[in-house]
Order: sequence, then structure tokens, then C-alpha cells
Amino acid sequence: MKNFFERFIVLIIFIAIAHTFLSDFAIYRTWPSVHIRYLLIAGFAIDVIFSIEFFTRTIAAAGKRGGGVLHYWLHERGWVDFLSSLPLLALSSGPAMYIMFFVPDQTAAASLGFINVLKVVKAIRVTRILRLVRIVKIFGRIHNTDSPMAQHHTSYIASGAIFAVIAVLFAFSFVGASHQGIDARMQHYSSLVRTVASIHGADRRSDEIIRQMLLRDPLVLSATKGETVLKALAEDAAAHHSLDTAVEITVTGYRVRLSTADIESAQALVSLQAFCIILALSIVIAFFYARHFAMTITDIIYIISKGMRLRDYNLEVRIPERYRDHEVFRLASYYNDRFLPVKSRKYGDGMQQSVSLSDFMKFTGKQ
Amino acid sequence: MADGRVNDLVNYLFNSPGVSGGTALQTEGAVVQFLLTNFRQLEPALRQPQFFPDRKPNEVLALLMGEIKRRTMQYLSPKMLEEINRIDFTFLVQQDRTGSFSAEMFRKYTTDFVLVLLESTEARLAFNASFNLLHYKILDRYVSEIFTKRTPTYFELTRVQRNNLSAGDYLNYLRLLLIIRPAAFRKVRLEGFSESEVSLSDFMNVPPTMENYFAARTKSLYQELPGMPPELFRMALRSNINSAHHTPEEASAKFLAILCARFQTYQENRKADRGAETPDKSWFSVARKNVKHNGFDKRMLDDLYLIAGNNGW
Repeated sequence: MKNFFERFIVLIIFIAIAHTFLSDFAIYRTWPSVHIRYLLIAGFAIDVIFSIEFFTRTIAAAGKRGGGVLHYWLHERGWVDFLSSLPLLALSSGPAMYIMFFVPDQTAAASLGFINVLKVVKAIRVTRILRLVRIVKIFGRIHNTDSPMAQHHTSYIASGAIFAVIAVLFAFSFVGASHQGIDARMQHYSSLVRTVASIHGADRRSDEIIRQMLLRDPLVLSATKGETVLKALAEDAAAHHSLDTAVEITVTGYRVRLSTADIESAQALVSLQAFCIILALSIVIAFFYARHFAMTITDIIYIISKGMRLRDYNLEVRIPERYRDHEVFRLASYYNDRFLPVKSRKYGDGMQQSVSLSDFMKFTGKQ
Repeated sequence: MADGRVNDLVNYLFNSPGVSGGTALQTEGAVVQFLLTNFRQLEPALRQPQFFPDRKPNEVLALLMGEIKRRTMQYLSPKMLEEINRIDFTFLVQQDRTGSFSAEMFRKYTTDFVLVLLESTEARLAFNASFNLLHYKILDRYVSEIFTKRTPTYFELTRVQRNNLSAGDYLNYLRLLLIIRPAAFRKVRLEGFSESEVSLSDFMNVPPTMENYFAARTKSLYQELPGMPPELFRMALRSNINSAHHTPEEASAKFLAILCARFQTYQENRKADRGAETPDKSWFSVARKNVKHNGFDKRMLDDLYLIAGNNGW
């Protein structure tokens, strides 16, 4: 059961990583909103699974001796499990799902400023970065080397490096160009509408000027004044814009829905770059550094330890010339030049074969 | 009924975890040693009704030893005969000045000689290294490398020993030495030397007597393998001792002494752990460092170390 659970989580980690990529890629390529909605649902499901995993592990750790929850948090990557589950569920996929299923008129929600409020606190965008933490989870689950020491050190350095990158991205997300761009766009159109309205007064003439002004602007998705539709939402625009790629402004009775797809797309490209940087970093650490670590440290220790423990193990450590001055290879040199010759003199060389008397007695007892 | 029990018991011993992974002779050696060392402690268990309640301990031991020997012989004899068939005895025919021996005669003498030798437990167990070197073609690959690359050992074997054999003939010569060398451990009565049956084990630590033993055993071997040069027997017998007792001309004996020590234990297809040197290279390297203790020829060890390293052996 435990194995099944662990394998299932590993599978979900890989799905979550693919999902992280696809979510940004979908915005970058302005996929139809229906696809983005599916990705949102998938993201919610993933967040729920990771939250359950986090709670399960916390409860299991609480029942264990020797440190319990604190040990899980500090030494078994509880903090990684936490960061990649609950904040995302509470601040990103959870609210998005709520709006999708429980707010019938999403434009109304927008008009209430719900989305904009969230954007003001920048919580959604900031927490999204935490999805990248899931890459760190791989290191705790996948054993790409037999050595626990290599596994531990690789995982430690990977967590440190990836988390440093994420922390920088996190910090920069508060001053990100994306928000500034969206704010600037909202301010620009607000001031435009306000200026026209103030010059021409709130009459039909000003409606017509504003209608003419907004009608040909591809960034304006729709515009209304009370019941009057100044620009209807085109079918194609509706299909390709979701809550993530549109904002609404209300100025002197005009409600104008603006596309932010271009800004979001540029931001998504930056996110994809960050994703790829972290993925590449992980691959380099998991495959190249882990291998290098094993070959220059743990393999050597393993051979020396085996040679000391087993009477019939007499293989020397291979010492590459370029690493001869490394401490571990100096130890290996001592093992090759001193320990093995003495051991060979004392115990001989070959395989020591013997039948055990206790095994034999067990056999005779069984008959 | 007793056969079934003997069979079960020997089956268990041959398959017990402590002896798995070794060669047939290593396994036999370990099982024989276990029985001889612990038989007193095993007696009460073996007297239980499900085993041998009606037999005397000596009879039980004889039954077990007989079955152990039968099994090893069943495995070993055909393989040894195969190895004898691989030897081309022409080089001996060419050395025979009387002209009365053919290659087939030498083959027959050698076959009969080996079958007699294998009957003796001590000699059979002493076959271990020879068997490994022959059966796993280890000798072939080292000799081929030495002769192809003309390494220092090549000069040692051809110039210092002053033999004029080609690589192929030299390989046959060494194969024959390997087959004859365990004869030193078969207990025999040696005319003019000992009244009782003796083997090299009795004189291993008494060099002057050992030399007399070699001389007497060389004579007796001529009776068993007629037509073969006494020099060949002497070289085969002396390959059982270390180089400290060898003359410079006994290069083949020195060479085989090293190889036999190395391949006393052998695991086919054993792979070195990542980061470790290969088994042969490691062994020769350690042996080089222990040269003062093991008495092997340092230059040959250096050479074999390089060969093993260059070939990943």
C-alpha cells in the first residue's frame, strides 16, 4: 500500500511538472479558454492531491517517535510538500475554481473587483511560482543512485539551488513588468474614456466618439454603457480570453473589457524560461553532478568499506591522476597501498568459502 | 534408502549459501573441509532416525565423501579430458629423439595420468587453479598477449629459459605443465626417497628435502608419463613453490606459480564495482606490493599488472 502511494505520488509529480509547463505554454500561445479551463481543473486536482499528501505525511509523522512533525518538516522535506500544496490550493487554484463554478457571471465577479483585488495583492501570480517547487519533490522520491549519501547530497544541493532561483523569481514577481503593464493599460483606457466623457459630457455624442474609438482597437474586447452595447464581445475573442487574460475597467458609467493576452503571453514566456532553467538545473544536478559525486566520493567510500568488511573483497580503488590530491583519494591510496597488502598477507586472497555449522543443523532439524 | 539421504545431504552442502559462487573444486574443498573439521559435532545429528541411525560414523563419512567425489568427478572429468584434447602434443614428438612416441600416445598417457590423479582428493583439489586457467581460457589470453606484445615476460620465458617454442607450442607446453603440476600433491611412495606415501605438502617448509622430493617425484613421473622430458616434470612440480626457490632459468615455473596463485579462486564474469580496479589488475597490484612476502617474480608481476590493466582484466 505504501509503495503504491509513493509510486502514485511520483506519477503525480511528473504530471504536475508537465501541467506547470502546459499552463504557461497555453497562455503564451493563447490557447482557447476552454483548454485553459481544463488546465485549471487539472491544476486544482493536483493541488488537492498534494494537500492530501501533505496532511497524510504530517499525521503519519506525528505518530512517529523521534522528532515527529518537526523532523518531517526539516529533514524529510515537509516544507517542500507544504509550499507546493496548500498555498497553491488556497490562493491560486481554489479561488479560480470557485469563480469558475460558483460565480455565474464571471464578468460580474470581475466588476466587483474580485479578480482585481487578487491581482492587487498579486497572490495568484506569486503563488504560481511555488509550482516550480514540485521539481524539488522529485529529488526526494526518485533514487537515481544507490548511495544514500549521494542521494542526500544531490537532493540537498538541488533543493538549495532550485529554491534560490524560486526565491529570486518570487521577489521579482512583486515588481514584475506584467503588473505594471496591466496597470498602465487600465490607467490609459480609464483616462482616455474619462477625458472624452469630460470634454463631451455624458451624452450620445460622447458615446459615439468612445464607440468609434474602441471599436477598432483590438485590445478592447467589449464595451457597454448601462444597457447599451458599444462594442460586442466577438466570438473569437471570447473563445481565446479567460479571466487570466482580460481585465475590466468601469469609468463614468462605461464598462470596458480589455485584453491583456499580449502582456500575459510575454509574462508566460518569462515563466517558461524560469521553468526550463529550473528543469535544466535539476537535470544537471540529478544526472551529471550526482554521477560525479558518486564517482569521486561515494563509490570510493563504498569500495573501501566493502574491502574492510568482507574478507574476500580485494579490489583496489581506481585513482584518476587528476584527483590524486583529493582527500578521499588519498585515503584510497592508503587503502590500496597499505591496507590491502596487509589484509592479503593475513587472510590470503581468494573467496573464503565455508559451510556454516548452524545452517547445517537447521537443515538436519527440518528433515 | 541411504543413497537418497546421502544425496539430499550432499545436495544441501553443495548448495548452501557459504559455498555458492565458487568453482566445482572450490565447493568440494569447502564441503570436504567442513565435514572433516566438524564431523564429531555432526555425528549426533546424523544418527537421528531420518538420517543414518544404523551406520557407524566412519561409514557415514565415507558415504558422504564418496558422493562428493562422484559429483565433482562427474563434472570435472569430461572437462579435463576436453582440455587434454585441446593440447597439440606435436612439440613433444619433435623433442623425442628415439622416435618411438606419437602425439596420440602422449595424449593417451596424459589422459590415463589425469584420471588417476583425479581419484586422489588432495591432487584433485590442487587442480583448482589449473582447471580455472585452462577451462576459462585465462592462460590462452595471457600467453597470447605476452607473445604478441613481446613483453618482458616473453623474453624471460623464451630467452632466459632458452626454449625455442613458438607461441602455439609454448601454450601447449604450459597447458601440459598445468595438468602435471597437481601430481605434487598426490601421495605416492617414492623409491629411494620414502618408505611411506608422501606428497609435496609434507616438505613444503623444508627446502633441502623439498629439492630431493622433486628429484624423486620427477623420476616417478617418468614411469607414469613415458617419453616426456624430465625437464617438463621438474618445471611442473616446481611451479607449486614460490620464486624464492627458483633458478633464473625456471621462468615457466615462476610464471605459472603467479598465475596459479591468482586464479586459485575465480568467478567467471565477475564485474568490478564502479570506481574499483578490475580483479586481475587489483590482484597483481597487491601481489607486487607483497613481493617480499609472497616470493613471486617482481618483473613478471609488473608485466602481468600492465597486461591486466591494458586489457581491462
